[in-house]
Amino acid sequence: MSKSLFRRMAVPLFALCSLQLSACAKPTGDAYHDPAEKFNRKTHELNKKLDKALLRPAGNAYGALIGPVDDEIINNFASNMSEPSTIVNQILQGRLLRATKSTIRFAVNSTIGIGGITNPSADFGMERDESDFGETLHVWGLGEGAYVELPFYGGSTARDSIGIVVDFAMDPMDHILPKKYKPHTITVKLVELAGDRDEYGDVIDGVLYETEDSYASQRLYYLQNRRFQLSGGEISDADLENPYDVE
Amino acid sequence: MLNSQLFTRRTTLLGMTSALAMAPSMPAMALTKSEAEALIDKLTAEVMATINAGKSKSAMFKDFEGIFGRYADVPLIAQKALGTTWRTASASQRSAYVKAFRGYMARFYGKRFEEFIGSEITVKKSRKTSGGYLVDTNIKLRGSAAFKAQWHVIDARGKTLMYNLFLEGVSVLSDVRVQIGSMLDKRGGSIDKLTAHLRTAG
Repeated sequence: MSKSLFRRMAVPLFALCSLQLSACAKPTGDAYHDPAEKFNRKTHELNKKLDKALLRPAGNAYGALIGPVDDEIINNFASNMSEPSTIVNQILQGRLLRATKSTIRFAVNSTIGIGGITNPSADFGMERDESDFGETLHVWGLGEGAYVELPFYGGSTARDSIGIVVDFAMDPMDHILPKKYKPHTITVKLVELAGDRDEYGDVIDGVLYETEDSYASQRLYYLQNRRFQLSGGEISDADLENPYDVE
Repeated sequence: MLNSQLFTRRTTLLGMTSALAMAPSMPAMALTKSEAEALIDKLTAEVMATINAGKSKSAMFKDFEGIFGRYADVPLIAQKALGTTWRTASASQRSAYVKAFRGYMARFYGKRFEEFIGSEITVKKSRKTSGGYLVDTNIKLRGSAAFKAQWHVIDARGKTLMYNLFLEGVSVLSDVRVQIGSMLDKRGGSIDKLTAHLRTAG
């Protein structure tokens, strides 16, 4: 990440945290901070329309056209492409062991794995370990902030939205691969998006089209799942509802 | 010497009586780690047997309803999902709601369980927690990464029962509370209308 970019990001970050101090405390359980709910709900309706018109049909087409072998190739390639970004974030988080493992994984998969289309490192017991700048901000102590629903993207938080922008801007892959390949890598990422829509089709349909209030359900799923991820797969005592504390 | 012994005994006795007086408000912690894990072992085995049996949807939902009724603290979950409306409901409204809720849960989550056909569930570890144990399991689906299901098992008035389930961190109790809350809002807060809807919803 360039210095100027960091300086540009740092000021709004701290402004955000100091303006919404309560949101910077660690929320648990059902708790959420959603001051822009009215606006977010409009974005949600837009996203549902986009899903119906574009993403769901693209997912169906992917499922019909692409066999399991090609699907794995696309998944492997896209995952390998995001590995350098994971490594940079793990270094920023001070998780050097994980960064080292990710680097070895990237090296193995890019060479023996034929440019990342296969995943031989998994055979050596090196499971994928993704990270992003939203997690880096979490490690640095920034709270999740307000919940937001982003157009095209879905559920996020103020902190994680900043993470998405920074990850996009500082993707180390841009320096590793010659510029002329950029359109191709973007294409692979878009194709993978359709693949994910196909793979998680029933789950996504369930959330968007079978719940009573798909906006509220999606918010709950995003926040609780993200907090779980960031805590390393643990449920804290504060997240467990006391069974004996009844109305 | 004798005096001090008596005094100690008396205070102990006093302590015990006050503890007894407090007993109704305190949960009895008879539940052990192995009991909690055994419950989840049996529960998941029954769920998997039902999914893999290849029955019709309605037969499967009926099985799920039976399993849910036997292994989970349904009245408590139903009450927690409803929130403050529970307080104003009459005894007959409450029992009708709990019954309808049990069927709704079996259908709503039963549909989602179908995706677990042929998967393997293993108990990994468990830890002591508020009112019981949190039992961690891994669900390995064919051809995709394993995911984590964590079961909150409690001592429910002397019986070992499941209270909540977390799927990759998402609480089923929170999830169903969002659903029930929304249904209730749409029906003007009427528990009777909610119960009628729950009989067929899911």
